[in-house]
Amino acid sequence: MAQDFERSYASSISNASGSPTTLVTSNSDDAIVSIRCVNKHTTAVNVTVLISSGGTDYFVIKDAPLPLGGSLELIDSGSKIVIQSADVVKAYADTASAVDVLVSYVDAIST
Amino acid sequence: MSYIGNKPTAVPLTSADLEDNIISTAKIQDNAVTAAKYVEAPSFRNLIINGDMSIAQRGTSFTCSNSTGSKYTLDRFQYIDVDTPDSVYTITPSTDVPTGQGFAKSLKVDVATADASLDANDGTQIQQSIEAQNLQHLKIGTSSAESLTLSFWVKSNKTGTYVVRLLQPDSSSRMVSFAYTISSASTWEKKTISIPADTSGNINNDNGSGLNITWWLSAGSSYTSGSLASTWQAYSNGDSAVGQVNLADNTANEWYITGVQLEVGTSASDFEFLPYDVNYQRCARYFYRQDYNTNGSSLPVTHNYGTGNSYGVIFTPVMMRARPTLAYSSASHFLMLYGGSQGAPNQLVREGGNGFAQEFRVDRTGLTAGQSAWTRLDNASATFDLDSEL
Repeated sequence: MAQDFERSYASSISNASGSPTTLVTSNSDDAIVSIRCVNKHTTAVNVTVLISSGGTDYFVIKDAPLPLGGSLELIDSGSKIVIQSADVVKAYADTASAVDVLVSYVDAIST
Repeated sequence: MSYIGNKPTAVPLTSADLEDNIISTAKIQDNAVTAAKYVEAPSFRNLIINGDMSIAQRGTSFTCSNSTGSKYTLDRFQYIDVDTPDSVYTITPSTDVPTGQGFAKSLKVDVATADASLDANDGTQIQQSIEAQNLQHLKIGTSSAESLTLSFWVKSNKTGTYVVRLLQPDSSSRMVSFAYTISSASTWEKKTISIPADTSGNINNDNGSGLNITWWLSAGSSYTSGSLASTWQAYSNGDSAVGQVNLADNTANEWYITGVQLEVGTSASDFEFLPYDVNYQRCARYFYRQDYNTNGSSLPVTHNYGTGNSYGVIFTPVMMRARPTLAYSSASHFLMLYGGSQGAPNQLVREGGNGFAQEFRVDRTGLTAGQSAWTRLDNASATFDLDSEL
């Protein structure tokens, strides 16, 4: 069957660690194939991406430095991250209006 | 994970980031490290002279007790009596050295007479005093003062805590002391001691004693009753040698030391071996001995000024630290040849001179004024010493 490629783009993600920006809320078994964090600010910033699952936060990366003019790809070398129903991918930065995050994933990969 | 576009600035690795010995020599490509990328240890970095104990002009065995008093043993290393200890040591150059380190000699202290019950004021030490003008680059007493590192190899059958003290004679004997532990009996151990910079002391820029490095061998309670002076402080007897074991408590005890190096910086570099002749000349600034040397040796030809004295000049191998004193074994060990006659001089006397040229006089009756004379060392025990030690 054809793969159901999806994407979720978030512009200017939250700078509050207590209320990160939600990127993806899974409703099935999904495979994340790309998380690209882009610094669009005028200075270096730090970015954090995490997955909330069953009440626990699992960091994909924490406080990763993003230099001015740089971006960071978290899914590399053909690897993937599988999330399951009700898992939520979130992100925040240490500076407001500084980071865009682009997530690509395959929806309902097991069906 | 990969960065795209600009990447974070690389953070240089520090020594703390690298596990000890994690990079072996084999893993570094030949000639990969160029001169621009390493700091070469400077020559003559060792402030200690004769740290490898290779020079011993004064002899091969020294009996040290309160009856003989403090005395120099191997070149530049002095045995010191503090008050009147009952112990007697025999100090010798020894060939017992740490394996594989390149040393040929060590200084050995052997307890000949024990002193198991030290009087409060008694103590014994081995010391090297460093000439003050050789220490100006330490910038003692300024905000730019340098840290120092003292390293040495030591061995003793008597394990436990020993103390080494640094003292500034020009600064009211300001001092700092460090304990080191001999952990394994009769096993060579390398000790490295970090000495903090002293921003408050003083070392005069002259030819006097600027810094005394003192290894305690025994210390009565007067020197152990306080708290060890681990930072530079005003002189205190009680803070000098806290914890020091009594090496002299048994005639079976012995203590060896070699590879002594005192250098600027916070880490110990490899011991700086000097050519024998260079090491000798550094020692000869403080002590110069002419001896019999198998077949006799000669003093310079002298000129008879009168009928009872003859004057000459000895040029020493290096400029001596200060006007030396003359000592000799015995006038009877010398033979004076003059005007077709010969005989032992009555005495030898140091006259004037400085630096390289030491004037001396040989006295004997029956000389002819205006003639020359020649005096030689004519006995296997003959010695002619010029001493300008600190």
